[in-house]
Amino acid sequence: MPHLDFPAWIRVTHWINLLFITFLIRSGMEILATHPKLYWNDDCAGGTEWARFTRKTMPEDKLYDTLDQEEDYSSIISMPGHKNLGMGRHWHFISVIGWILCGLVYVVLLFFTGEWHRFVPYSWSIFPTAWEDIVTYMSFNLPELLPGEPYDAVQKLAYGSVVFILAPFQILTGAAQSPAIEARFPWYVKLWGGRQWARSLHFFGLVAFVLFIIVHVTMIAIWGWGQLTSLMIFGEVGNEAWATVISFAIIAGIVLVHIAATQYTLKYPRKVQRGLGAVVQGTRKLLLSPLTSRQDYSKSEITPKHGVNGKPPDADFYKIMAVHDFVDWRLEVGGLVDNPMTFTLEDFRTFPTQQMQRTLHNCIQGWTSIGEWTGIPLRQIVDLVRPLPEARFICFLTMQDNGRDEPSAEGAGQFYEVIPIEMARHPQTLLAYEMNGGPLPIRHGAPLRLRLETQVGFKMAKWIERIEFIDDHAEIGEGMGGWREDNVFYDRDVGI
Amino acid sequence: MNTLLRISGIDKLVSFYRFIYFNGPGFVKFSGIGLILVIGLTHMYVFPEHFEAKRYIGLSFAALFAGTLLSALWMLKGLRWGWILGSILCGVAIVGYVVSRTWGLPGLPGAIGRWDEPAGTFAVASELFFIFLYFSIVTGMNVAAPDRRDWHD
Repeated sequence: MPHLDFPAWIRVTHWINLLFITFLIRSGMEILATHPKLYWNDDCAGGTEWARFTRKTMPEDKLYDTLDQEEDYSSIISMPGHKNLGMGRHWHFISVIGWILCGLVYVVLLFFTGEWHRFVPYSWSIFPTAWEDIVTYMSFNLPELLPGEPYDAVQKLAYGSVVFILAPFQILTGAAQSPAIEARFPWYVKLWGGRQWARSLHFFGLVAFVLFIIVHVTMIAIWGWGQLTSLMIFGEVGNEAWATVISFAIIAGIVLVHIAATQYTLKYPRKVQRGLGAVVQGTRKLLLSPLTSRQDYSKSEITPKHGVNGKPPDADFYKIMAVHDFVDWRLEVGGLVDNPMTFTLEDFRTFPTQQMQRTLHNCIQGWTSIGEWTGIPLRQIVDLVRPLPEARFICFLTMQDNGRDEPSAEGAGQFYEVIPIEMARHPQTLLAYEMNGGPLPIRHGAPLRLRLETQVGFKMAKWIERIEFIDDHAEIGEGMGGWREDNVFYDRDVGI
Repeated sequence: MNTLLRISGIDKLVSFYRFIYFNGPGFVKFSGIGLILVIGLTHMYVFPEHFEAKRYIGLSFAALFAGTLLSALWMLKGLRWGWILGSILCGVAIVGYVVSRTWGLPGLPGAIGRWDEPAGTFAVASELFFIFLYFSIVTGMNVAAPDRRDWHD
């Protein structure tokens, strides 16, 4: 076995990893805060959660939606805190990218240099040895290190488990929560027991990492802070006093980075959205945009009470249309097209090509429901109206005005969403007018809503009144590609 | 309990506690049963040497073991007294352990300062965890069968 020591790359990646993992934990808590309930079933039926991290209880005598359930966590435990899911997601995904890159460098070098021997056991005898070490720890003594190795048996197993089991586990359960991955590979999310199992397991992984950090730091202190930080800073047991000072300085530095990032994010959310979004969007485009939905859940898997987000238009014109079963509703499709058209609901119901699909709906908040949607493939509409070459996006304008209709919303104005025109050609991108075998309910977007199965739910505009083909969305609203993107700083393309 | 936490001001310090609720009544019930039995069995594991050292210590271990069996049975039947008895037994065991290691127990001077007993450490940790588990039930963080959560939303 090669001599196992602490080369520079181990030391550097250790401290970089600490920075990323702490950002992942805090931003993960922000994501949890938006729907602070964990389930074992993909129906997410109210009252069936196995854990909740909120003091809020919902009223029994009036309509509420999942936006009302969002929690406001302190910036101490969540990044940036205070109901900022959009920002939390940006920090989470940029940290995922950084953490995985750091981890890849670490693992490649581990095997390239032979340092992997420090984590990978050679025989089953490590388990009885580890048991003896635990008994020794319980007698408040320190066990012997393994011969020629820098760790005792328990440490070797613990570190090896974190690097080769827990870290990949978090990546895999995280990926299982991507609508794009779930849609293209439904078997993958079912492998984990469903989306909510993946979410709950991902939460367990968070707890495991937090516990590991607590135990790790405690053990460092017990074994000898100066000595061990000297190894992780200088690569050898040298000046313990300086190692102690530098280690605390590094930790203080990381804390300061957290504080600065949090303050900056709360003060300049748009800049953070653009800055971090540029990197994250590029990665999404590379890895997730090519994926198309191929879902086909069974009828028995349909959620009895599909989750709801957003309140329907509280306007007389809408209510009058609803009373008359939307016979007066017209959908105008125009903008940069050769052949602008207007449709009625009856036109859609009698369209020659109709499609039915049963798919898993992923709200950005984390809850899910399975529904059956019937409608017209959007690509059919695209073929009919013939977009001009400069048309790059499709803008869905709705009848919802958040200032009027959504008391919980962080902003006002007409709700709209923009999608890249390529998504219109995905096989399960649908303009749905029926749900679960009946007319689309008002709370789910009647008379027409979008189904965009590789994206999170907020992109699937409800209560549509107009579709515009555009070349750029910079001049619409705040220019970020949708109402939620404008007002709560979500990302435009949300395959994860 | 909640009033006590509020009056003492401790509730503000641990306000995050009020954000955490679990819904696993069966899991909690059987965890409690498992834990109290492990505590009893741990004491029986060291019963022979303690009985040989001082009979009354051994007999107290045996009594504790019997108590844990009763506690487990009551918990299995869904009786709150199972938890109460278990917590009392754990409290007594912890106090006894600490006293034996500090002031000393009659006829057992050799135990003073002997904190390095792995079985003792394990037992105390388990007892503390059991007490915390019951505390979590009393304060509403957890619920133990046959009780159920009344969540409607």
